[in-house]
Amino acid sequence: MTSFPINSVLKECRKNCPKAQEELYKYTYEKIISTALRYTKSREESKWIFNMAMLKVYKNIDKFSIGTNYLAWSNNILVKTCIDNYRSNSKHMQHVAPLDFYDDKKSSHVVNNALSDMEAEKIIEMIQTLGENERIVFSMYEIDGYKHREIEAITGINMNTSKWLLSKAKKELRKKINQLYDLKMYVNE
Amino acid sequence: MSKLDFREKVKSYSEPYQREDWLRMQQLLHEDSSNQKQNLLWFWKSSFLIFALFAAMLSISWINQSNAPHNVTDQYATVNTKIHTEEDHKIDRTLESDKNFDTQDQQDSETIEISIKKEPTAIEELEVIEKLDINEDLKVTPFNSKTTSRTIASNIQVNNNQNKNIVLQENNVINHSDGHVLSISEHVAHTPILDTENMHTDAPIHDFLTIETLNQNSSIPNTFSRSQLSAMSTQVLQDYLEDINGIKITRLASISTVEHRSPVLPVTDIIGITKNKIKSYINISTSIKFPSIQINEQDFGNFKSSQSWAASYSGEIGYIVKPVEIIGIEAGIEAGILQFRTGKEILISDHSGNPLPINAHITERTSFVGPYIRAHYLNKISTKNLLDLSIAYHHNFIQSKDYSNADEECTIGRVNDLRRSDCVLYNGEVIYTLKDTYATNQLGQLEFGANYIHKVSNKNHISIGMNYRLGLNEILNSKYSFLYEYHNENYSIGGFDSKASGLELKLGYWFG
Repeated sequence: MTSFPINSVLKECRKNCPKAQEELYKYTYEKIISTALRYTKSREESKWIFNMAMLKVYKNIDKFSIGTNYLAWSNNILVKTCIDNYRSNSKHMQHVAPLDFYDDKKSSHVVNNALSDMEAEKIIEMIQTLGENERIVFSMYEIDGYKHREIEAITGINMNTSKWLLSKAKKELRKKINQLYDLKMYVNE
Repeated sequence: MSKLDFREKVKSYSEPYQREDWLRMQQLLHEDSSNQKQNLLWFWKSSFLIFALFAAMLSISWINQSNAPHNVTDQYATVNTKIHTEEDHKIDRTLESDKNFDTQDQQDSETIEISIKKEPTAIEELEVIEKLDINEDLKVTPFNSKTTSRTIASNIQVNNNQNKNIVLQENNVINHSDGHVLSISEHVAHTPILDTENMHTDAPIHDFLTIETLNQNSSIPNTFSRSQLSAMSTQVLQDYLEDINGIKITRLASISTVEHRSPVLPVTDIIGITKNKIKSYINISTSIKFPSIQINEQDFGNFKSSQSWAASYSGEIGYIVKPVEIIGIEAGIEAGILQFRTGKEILISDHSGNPLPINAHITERTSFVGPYIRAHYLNKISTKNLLDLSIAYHHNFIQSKDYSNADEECTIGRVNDLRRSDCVLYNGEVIYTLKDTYATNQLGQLEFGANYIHKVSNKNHISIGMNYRLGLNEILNSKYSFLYEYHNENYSIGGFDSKASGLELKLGYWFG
């Protein structure tokens, strides 16, 4: 399998070559569309967000140092675009989170294991069913590895609220997983 | 399976793109390009409109100057010219009942006028009479031309053939029993343009006397200058008039005393009512400022301004009240945008411990809106031109969308989109996050200005000038820190407190 000639494509994109732009779009889409899918509630929204991020990529491509990691750069832009979209949409940034909430580590472990047994597409579909705040916190914390302090800095969601939303997201996922397994058992029977 | 596997599984998920997605992207690129072109087009259109407005105002001003009537001179009008003018534009002062007097006599008659001054044109006469009315209304007493005119009239007495004395007054028409008609009308002429706004006029006020008779002998000259008439002895003039139609004028010597010139007085003295009249204007202006951005020192090194000056565009609308002619007070609202660019090279270590320079450039673009109050001192340069010295205080509220929390931190993504900053933050395999503290959202400015004001008309003025604005506090107070995610370390990279002071070019229009 031949590797994608990213450097030459980027150089052509700087000249606004439409063919190169399409090549870059195709390459980027296939590699990082999962990020947009995780942060949005539908496939349509994720495609719109992805296109907005790509617009930024094309407009700022002169500033990218060719030879460095293009995918990390474009993925960073995509994440920021998703979060900006969340911030601009959400009118409910100031959540009143319980100061003390039950962090069910066992539940967390069960959810993670269950998710790991599932197909990636199914996991993404399940994440998309979460509420907007829960989905953002879950994706950032569980998948992208942000800490709660960082989530607070990036999204404006208070650290305690972030922990509470994560816990809530896991409970919802566990519920959905249980329903799924019950349904499977029912089908098998 | 471990948690890592679950994360990796999602991250590595891939699906092929569809052609229609790319078509949407193309459309987006096209729209973005069109928007950029439209913005550029809008800029040029705005510039063109401003210059067109300026050119139109200059044209109107120039046309007004070209059409301004000339001052009355001492040249004498010829007989033919006078008769022609009077026939074409004569102001009918005869009474309706007198118009029906002896039609045959009127057909045979010829109007002969004795003018003691060069007559203005018919248009000028109309203006003259209008001004006379103004003067009467205003009850001007010193050097009042009306008073003088009355003196003339009262000093002229005409005897008809029956030696009956008739005192002629303005607009008086005498119907003689022998069929002669004589009328005397008076006019006061002066410089047609009377500036009612604290302007001085150097034009003399002239008066002249018109005597109209019927059944005249056309061989006798009928036009005299005031100096000619004054030089005539009473007897000569009397003989002349008697030769015309047998009218005997007594006490005619008083005519020579009526010539006068008004001293150069402020029109406000002549037309007293304007002196204390409060005037108001609406001022609409647009300006471009060139504030220099002062970057104050902070820890960890400074951001440096990438520009020696920034560009700021703004517009004002204000209400001006002039309680006296030389002082104006203005209050209004100003809105505009300000953009400037700063930059810094940030030196950190990469994962191998090698120096890793990062170039960070931040473009700050803010919009502002706020009230202002301004005091004008209006100094007259000439009849139509003024020098306006002003001082103002502006209080601008800097717009930052939902970024009102002074201590809020944001990421580069947020800076990019909300404040439209332009940061080059990525280098290599690591991801950086820029955090910003934004502390100031109000800006006080003192403005010192000198403007040239040209009067397009009595009520409308254009102004063009230059101001200096002094920033009293910071526009932005920004501190940036840099999160180096590879090591999960925070680097404080300094920031800047920015003040903006500088020159401003301004173009405005005052609507009276």
